[in-house]
Amino acid sequence: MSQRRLFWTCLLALVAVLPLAIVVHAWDSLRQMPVFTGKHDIVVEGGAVQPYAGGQWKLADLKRLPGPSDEARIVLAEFETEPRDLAMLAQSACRVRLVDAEGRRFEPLMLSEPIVREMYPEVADRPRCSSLAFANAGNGGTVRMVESFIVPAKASDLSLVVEVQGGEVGVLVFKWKRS
Amino acid sequence: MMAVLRSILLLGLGALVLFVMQHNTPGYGDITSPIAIRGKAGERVEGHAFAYGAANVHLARVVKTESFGRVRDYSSSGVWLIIEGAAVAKKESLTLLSAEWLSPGGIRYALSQRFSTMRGGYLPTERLEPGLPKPVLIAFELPETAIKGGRLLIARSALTPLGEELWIDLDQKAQLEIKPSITLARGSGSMPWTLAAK
Repeated sequence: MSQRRLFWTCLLALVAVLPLAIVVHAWDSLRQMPVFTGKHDIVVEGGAVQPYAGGQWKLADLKRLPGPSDEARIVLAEFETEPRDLAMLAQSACRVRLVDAEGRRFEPLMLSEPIVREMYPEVADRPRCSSLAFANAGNGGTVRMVESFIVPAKASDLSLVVEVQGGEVGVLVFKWKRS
Repeated sequence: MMAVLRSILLLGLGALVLFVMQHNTPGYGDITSPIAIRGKAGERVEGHAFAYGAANVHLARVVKTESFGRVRDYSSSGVWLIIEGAAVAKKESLTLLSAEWLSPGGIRYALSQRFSTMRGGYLPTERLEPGLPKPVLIAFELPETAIKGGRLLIARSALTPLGEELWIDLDQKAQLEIKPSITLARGSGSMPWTLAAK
């Protein structure tokens, strides 16, 4: 092989090898991208029953309660699931978020606000969405859960997002139009 | 003779370039350091994920905390710098875990952990919700010489590569008086604390 030909071969190889090296290095991260995992979000209306991650899920109610200030409101999300695969649910981490029309994401409160216990004492004692809630559930029973959030009073078009990590699909999005 | 001289010159030039590169190439920490967003005390400083505004700045020799009728004194071999302000998340619920004071000499001082028993209002213990500004308190224990010309640095976490960090300069013209003591007590309503300087 002539020296000129060797030079161009190496140059072309470099053009191919460099992107290949980047892809190999980032392979684990690329595999997690939704386009490769095939995961997609399931969007349903609040009140509808939807099979997801080993259970039949339903958003029962989304109540707005007075907040700690005039600008804030407490949102109480009551949701439930009828486990079909209790072992899977009990081993998976459950994450719940509230999303408003502006796409702002609210995490659940660690401790429920006193007003929740005052207005809905029977709901306040329900478990939060966690593997513990499913581990304590009996076969065939409905697991009723509750999460509370603090949002701006003007937040509208709220959606409850439920994510059971380790599942084969993406997240479950309950659209709530009634509040 | 000329060829030898040229080789020596090239070698010297190469050594010089390497020396300059060695002393100017940023390290991994510099390359991935937080992106600074500059602002001033008294104004709202906007990041992409959160915003913060420093409202009142106090200096004191001693900080007293009052809780349930019990008073605790926190003395210092330096000076207490107490900053009252407000913070708000913009896109998602978050907690601002990193606040540092950068002295004019480049030394970074961490937030004081001595108020860990104080309930409510201390910056790293407050979860911020999008669209709901919250009053937050920041306290540093500093040498007196580290205050003038210093800068408040606030970030979501000190460990996030290429995260955003607010760099807030205090008013350089304002003459801050060092008070003998400041008393922090529980507040009521939307203010988690009350502050009284003596």
